[in-house]
Amino acid sequence: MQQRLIVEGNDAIAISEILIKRKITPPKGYSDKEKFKREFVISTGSIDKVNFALEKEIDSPAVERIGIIVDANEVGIVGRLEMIGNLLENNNLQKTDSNWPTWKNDNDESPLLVSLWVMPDNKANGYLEHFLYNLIPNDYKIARDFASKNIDEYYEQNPKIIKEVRKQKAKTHAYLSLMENPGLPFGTAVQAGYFDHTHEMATELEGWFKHTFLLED
Amino acid sequence: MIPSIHIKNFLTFDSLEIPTLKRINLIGGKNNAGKTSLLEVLLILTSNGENRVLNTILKNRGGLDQGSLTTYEELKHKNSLKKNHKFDGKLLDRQQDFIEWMARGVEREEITNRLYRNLSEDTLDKDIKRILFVLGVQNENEAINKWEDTLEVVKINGLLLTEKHGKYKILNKTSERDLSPSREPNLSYEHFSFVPAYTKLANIEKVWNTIVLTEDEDLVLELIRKVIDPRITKLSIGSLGAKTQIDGKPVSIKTLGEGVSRVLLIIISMVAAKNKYLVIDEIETALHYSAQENLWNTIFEYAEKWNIQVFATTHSRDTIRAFKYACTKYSKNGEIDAQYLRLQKSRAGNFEAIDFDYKNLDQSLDLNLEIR
Repeated sequence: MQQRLIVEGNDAIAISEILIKRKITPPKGYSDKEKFKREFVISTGSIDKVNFALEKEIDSPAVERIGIIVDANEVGIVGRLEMIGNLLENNNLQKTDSNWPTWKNDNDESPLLVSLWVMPDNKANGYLEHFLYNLIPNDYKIARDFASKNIDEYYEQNPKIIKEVRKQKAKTHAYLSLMENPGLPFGTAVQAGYFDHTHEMATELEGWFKHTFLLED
Repeated sequence: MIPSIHIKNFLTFDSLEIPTLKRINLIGGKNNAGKTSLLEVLLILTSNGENRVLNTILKNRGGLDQGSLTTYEELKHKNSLKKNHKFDGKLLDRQQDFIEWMARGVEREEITNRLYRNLSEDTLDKDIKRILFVLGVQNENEAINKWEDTLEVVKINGLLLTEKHGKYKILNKTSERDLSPSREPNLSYEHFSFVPAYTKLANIEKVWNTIVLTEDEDLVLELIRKVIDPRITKLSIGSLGAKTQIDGKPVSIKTLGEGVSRVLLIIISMVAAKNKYLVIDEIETALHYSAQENLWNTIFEYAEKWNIQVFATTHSRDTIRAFKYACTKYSKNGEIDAQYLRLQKSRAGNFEAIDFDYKNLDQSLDLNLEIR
């Protein structure tokens, strides 16, 4: 039995660090860190490649669980759900009732469950950075607010520079630039405690992960 | 070239359809996915069902006692298959289906043309004599006339069949000698070259004997200089061993390592496969990944030049990667007459071949997807 986590960007490290900090057991068959990185996680780098990888993994009968993490970005949650849903339904998977968007095939011999998490929270438009921004602990409130205020002011003065939805990306990176150890990549910043892994959004993500994957005992 | 294949009820397969076969086909898949069975089907198909090929395959699968059968018809009934073998009985039960498969795989018009073509050759080979015998005629013209009146009799892949109510029955009797498994260490026949997963001196020697002292000998030297060592000037292969000359000194092939023997076997087999089929089982055996790229480049270059259709199996990601590099190198306008196929049982439990053309393969490897 194989399981796959297909991610659009480089979100996998930050997400796995949050889950590690929450002490959840690894997916069944992927206790080995190298195997986890090499086989469980597929970091695609673009939404087109998410579709490509998803189709190939659906074709692979050994794969029984697939989790997909994509950014809603400016396309929006509805657009993303529709795109992935169409692809899955064209491959004979049916949508099921669940707290998270989930599809299953009707095949006891070769079962497949696919579940989708759309960053930041399956509701709003945005990116991983929106998700992480919400996880900034109160201890770092001053840095967060400073970054937010200054980015807002900057974009007010230069409104043509960037789309509104992408402003949050800048705020999250600006926040990290103000830390004691500035400019850490997201995964390392989670390890350093610059994001709060106990936040309710992280709890929700853990719920999705446990719903999607079979975990080691 | 075989453009496509549909196998039904034969060996491992209930059904396997590969709608497109290309000039170079690399075939992967887990154990028991049907890779070897597919190669065996290709050998039977490309050899026109030659008895020795069929029997060698049966023998290799542990399914035939040498000299125990006198006709193919008996294959269906005689309890000659070894017991307690996973292959036990499978071919017997499915022999009729196999024949049907072969019949369905060839259009009747093509069958007719093939028979005419055979019959119009100056020298009547053994099979043609059999046809004349079964048709009860004395000569070619009489056979053609008879053929036209006897549409229910067809010859497919070396077997003479009669059709009744859509079922095919084998007519031609075969001698005990024909039914004996080949004692030769590997299969190299009129229509294909086969490279087994293991490399033995006897394999190399057998293929070399078909090439030595012909103009193709120079081609072998040309290729081994390209792939193994540019300093090589001579090659000698005999029952006492294989030697080459490097910098004017004799060097035993053995001392150059197992990988060199493997490359040598593949190269010699390739030269022997001009205008034919080259079938390689587990191409990566004993080959370091760095040697594979060079080998694939050579296969791509000469398969095109010499009109060879190549089928190779692999378990190795390195092999697939080296194959992809060669695809990139030899592609024209982003297209290449080559593909990687992964054989597997689908979620519905059927055998299927997932095809990864050059672009899909490139993307799959970039994403580190498990494609073996």
